[in-house]
Amino acid sequence: MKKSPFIVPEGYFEDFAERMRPQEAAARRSVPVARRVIGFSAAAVAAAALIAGVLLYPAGQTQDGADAEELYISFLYSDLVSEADPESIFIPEDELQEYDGLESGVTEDDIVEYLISSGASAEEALQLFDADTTEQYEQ
Amino acid sequence: MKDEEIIALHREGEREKAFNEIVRNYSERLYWHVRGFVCSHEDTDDILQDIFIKIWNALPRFRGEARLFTWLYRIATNEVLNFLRKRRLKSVLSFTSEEKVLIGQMEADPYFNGDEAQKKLMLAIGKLPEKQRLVFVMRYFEEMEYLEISEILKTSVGSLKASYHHAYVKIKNEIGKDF
Repeated sequence: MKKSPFIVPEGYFEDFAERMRPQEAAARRSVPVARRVIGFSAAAVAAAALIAGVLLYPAGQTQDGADAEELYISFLYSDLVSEADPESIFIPEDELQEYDGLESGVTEDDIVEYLISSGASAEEALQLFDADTTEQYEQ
Repeated sequence: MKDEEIIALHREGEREKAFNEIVRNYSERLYWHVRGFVCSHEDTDDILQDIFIKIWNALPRFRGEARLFTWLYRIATNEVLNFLRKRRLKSVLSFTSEEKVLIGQMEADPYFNGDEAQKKLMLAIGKLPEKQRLVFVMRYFEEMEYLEISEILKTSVGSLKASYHHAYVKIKNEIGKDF
């Protein structure tokens, strides 16, 4: 093998073998999914609390009525879940069960569409996923 | 332990023992295989873990008809491809060029020890179409035989040689731009 411009932290491979208990590693790798759903849930709860506060808080009973109106306006224009952050894309509950490790929330259809729009033929784009699932590794 | 002995362990139902031997024998090789495409040590570590999780899950279905080496590299290569596609899509969604992402990664990576020429080479490789990149890295850096690459990628040797030639010319032109 040719000399590589990359180096590895000392003791990495010895440590890797120790770390590589597949069930534990799989549990570690699935945390970002739960974290993302929890993050969305937290955002949803915060939004619900904000709506409740705006709707239930009696108008005119604040010392400064402009505060309530300001809060309401800021709520209208706030991003509950930033659409620019693909990591925050909500994963519907029925899809969570079949989550196959695509941690960014990007689906295969998204990837295929992108590949086709960048010039690959539909066949080429779909062919790339042929050996993608573990079922394909029956050898 | 040789591959034949690992397969024998697997056939005897010793899944965990067989898996541990695979990790011991192949973690370093698969690491460099991934790193050749991904550059960043952190990303490589993540992908390597995913690869071995996939290997663990798929091991019960491995019948030994393909060589263990081929089977493992096929899993690893698919994981690398998945990662590269996701990275490309992310860069499109965030309106950032992939080249900028790669440059930023290499400059920030404490485990990149290359000079300017090697940086240019890695960037040039990063611009290749997927298949050409695969063949080039496996042939040039990993020094694999065309027959081995053919078994892993399920592509004819002739097609691989053509891909390698195209990759070589593109890289040469890309690097030659600065001279």
